[in-house]
Amino acid sequence: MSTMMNNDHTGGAMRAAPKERISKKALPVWRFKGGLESLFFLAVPVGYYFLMNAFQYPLWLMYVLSAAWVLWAVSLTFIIPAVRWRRWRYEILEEEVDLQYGVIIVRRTLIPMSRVQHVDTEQGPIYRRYKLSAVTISTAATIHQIPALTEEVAAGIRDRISNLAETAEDDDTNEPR
Amino acid sequence: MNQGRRMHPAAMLILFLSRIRELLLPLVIVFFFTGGFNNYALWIFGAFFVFILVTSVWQWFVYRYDAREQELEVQQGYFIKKHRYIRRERIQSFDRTAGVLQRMFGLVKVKVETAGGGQAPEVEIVALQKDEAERIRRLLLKEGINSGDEENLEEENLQARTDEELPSFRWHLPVGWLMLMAATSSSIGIVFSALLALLSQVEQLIPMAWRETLFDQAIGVIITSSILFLAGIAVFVFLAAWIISIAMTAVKYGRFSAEKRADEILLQRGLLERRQLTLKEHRITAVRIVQNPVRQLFGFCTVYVESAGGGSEDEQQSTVLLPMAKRATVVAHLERLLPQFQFEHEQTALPQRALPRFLIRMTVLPLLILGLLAYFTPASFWLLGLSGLFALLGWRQFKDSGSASTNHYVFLQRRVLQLSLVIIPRHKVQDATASQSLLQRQMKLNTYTVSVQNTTSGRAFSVRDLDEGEASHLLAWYSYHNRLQHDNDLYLH
Repeated sequence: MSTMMNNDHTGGAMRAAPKERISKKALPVWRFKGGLESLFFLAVPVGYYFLMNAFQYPLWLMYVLSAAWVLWAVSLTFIIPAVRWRRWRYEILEEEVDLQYGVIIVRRTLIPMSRVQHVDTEQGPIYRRYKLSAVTISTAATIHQIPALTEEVAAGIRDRISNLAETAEDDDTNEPR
Repeated sequence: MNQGRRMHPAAMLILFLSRIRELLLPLVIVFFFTGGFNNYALWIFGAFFVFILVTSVWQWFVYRYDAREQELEVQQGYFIKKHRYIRRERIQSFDRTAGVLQRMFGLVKVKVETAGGGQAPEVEIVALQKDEAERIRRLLLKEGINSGDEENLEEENLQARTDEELPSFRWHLPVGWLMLMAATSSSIGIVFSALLALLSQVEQLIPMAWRETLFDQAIGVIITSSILFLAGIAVFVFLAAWIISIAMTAVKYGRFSAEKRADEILLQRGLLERRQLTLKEHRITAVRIVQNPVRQLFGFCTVYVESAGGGSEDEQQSTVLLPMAKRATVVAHLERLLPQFQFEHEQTALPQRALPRFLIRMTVLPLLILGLLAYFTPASFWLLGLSGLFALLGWRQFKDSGSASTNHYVFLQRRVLQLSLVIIPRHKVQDATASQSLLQRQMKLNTYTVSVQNTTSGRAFSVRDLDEGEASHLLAWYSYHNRLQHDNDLYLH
């Protein structure tokens, strides 16, 4: 067993990334959300501005906070959505769902069809505007979501997973233990 | 469902008393905050008292259950009648408890749980004769009743009964090990802080008249011999906490036994409250062998199992399978209790390059805090040495972490403070993830995580900073796509 494992190790690298990408329309949606979020963080420099006037706090910190906010806002609205979109990959194989996602931590997740309990499509108000939909895959222990798919693709994926999950053999009874 | 049965009439009293017990804490709190009872509070509690009395009687009256061969039906509800049907094959665990209240009448409480559904058990029948509980258990948990024709059915029933009467393996907790377990329990920390909190409230409890004389004297004593006195109090509180936590553990796990009967595992425990839990072996999703540092020193461990039902809150939703066992021989016991599981494996350690990450992770926060402390109070400079202990722990975490996989099982070992080895069969793994942070990518390291079902919903187990190759191997081990490929490769060679 251990020798076999060692052989496998020489193979080393993770298998090729999943093939499919999510919709490009994810970008405006995430930028919009990121922009809103950065407006929320605007409270920090603005709050400091009033404190500075009231208590004669140092001016240099005002510059630091403002610069930090600009950087944060730019990354929230532009950089992070772009990286997130580029990273998001999925593939619906016959035996399993293969996901890759994450900005700072990249995750690679496998969900076998035989573990899928149910699969839904979801659409919030912003998604509806862009005719987007998210697919949610639930197992007995966890829930995963593929975000920002066009409505047709999402419906197709939902039906495909649902069909595959139904016919996937439950190896609870099949597998030698 | 009028043919269903009611609980034992003592259920009324048991329901009443257990609800009163729940009310006791708010009662005590109100007592201290209002400085005794005024009329107003008395009226409210009086009303509560009557309300609880009425609902307890009422609940006994409306609650009916009916255990049949295929399902358990329960009818309850004060105004809105609720019927609940639980199919036999959905049942995850059967929990028979004899609490102090139940024992006064020689009765038991029965809890039946199915997969998922959160904290509350699906069915809770608070007062039953023991025989009746056993009858329900047999009806609901016996395998093979629903298969085959009439003749076979009888035969299988007979077979099942003999299996049930003769456990194939029985393990019990020796008293000496129970005492060692109690003495090395980590609950001492919780009891210690609870006692300290209580102690700080004691001043409030002393009546005004005493307080002036007694307390002033005490203050005088404290000031004159402060350090010695405080150290003395600390030692005293620690000893008291130790004794209390020993007693608590002994009461909870006293007379513990684990039995293997057919495909079931029967766990019994408790001195005052006797709990009997029946788990099905094939429902177990993970086995955990855990050693806290002190127990590791003595060569002992605790074994937990995860299952989709049956976990209790005081065990973090897991179930204690063996509360205290010798690490060296535990696998031999486990192989007899869980014959379907596999325990032998060859662990792959972490690559050496992962070590700095463990050292930094463990020391950066202590260094920061102690460094600040040393900066502001130079006298406490020596405390910086404490971060050496954290570095030691980081090194142990690195040394102890590892992973292994066999055909159908994955083994993940890690340490936070406790050393924990988790064993999971592939068909119980719900999903697997290999993740990599930016820094891990530089060092070609990965974190590997698998999720299994447990009592609440799911529980994830992970090992940090595995070699990239090992993580991808473990992901391929789980992949159903690659497996077909892999099996073909093996076939060709």
